[in-house]
Amino acid sequence: MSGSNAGKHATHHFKHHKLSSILLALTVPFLLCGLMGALQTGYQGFIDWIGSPFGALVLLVFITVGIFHSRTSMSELILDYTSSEASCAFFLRLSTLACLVFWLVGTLAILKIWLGA
Amino acid sequence: MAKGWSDKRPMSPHMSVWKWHAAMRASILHRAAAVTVYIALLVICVWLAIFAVGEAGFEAVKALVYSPLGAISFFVFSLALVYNSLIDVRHLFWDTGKGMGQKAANLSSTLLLVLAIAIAVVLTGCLVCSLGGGSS
Repeated sequence: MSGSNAGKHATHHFKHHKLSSILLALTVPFLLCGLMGALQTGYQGFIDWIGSPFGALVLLVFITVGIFHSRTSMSELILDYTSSEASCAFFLRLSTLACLVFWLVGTLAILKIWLGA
Repeated sequence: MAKGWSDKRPMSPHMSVWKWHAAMRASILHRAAAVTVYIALLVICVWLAIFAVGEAGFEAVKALVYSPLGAISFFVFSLALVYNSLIDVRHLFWDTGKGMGQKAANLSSTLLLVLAIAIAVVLTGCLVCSLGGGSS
């Protein structure tokens, strides 16, 4: 099935999942420390953190890699827990669309704060 | 199995095939953590959009995060995120061919769960402790 990460797509899926898991594991400590520090300083402190290149980059990488990694994880779950090919294809596409839309929303919000657009 | 299920393969995590063990619990929790992180990431994207608009939205989200329900949600999210990352790192270690024996896998499954809970408790504790000095 197209988009199901089966057949010839399986190796790519495996590599992408591994690569994104490494990036995610590296980003999570910086994100949690930065996020918790910024939350205490109020709105301006939070905006300043995202406005800094490091904060913006950490958040951008986390959102991008996190959503990509989550989508590949969700694909595995959809493949395991949907019975018919039609419902499987529907949920795979729905998941991809949701990830794309929310990634765009998150990325544009970060860029707006970072670049002050 | 669900009514109308046509797939003849055993349903993952194959609870009807395998005897219950710690590595199976880790597999189930890893899936649950993946779903939690998936949902949380979508919520974070919406929050970022709210923050980009102005301060009023930030204060509302901050009040939510610092509420008891917010602290519980933060604990669940941080636990899922940390556990997901730790299990992914273990998978990378497994790719070298080491630590895949029954005893080692069960031991690492329990240790990683305890470690993830400990880290999530510390993070949530930091969040709750920062309430007095950081809230405005």
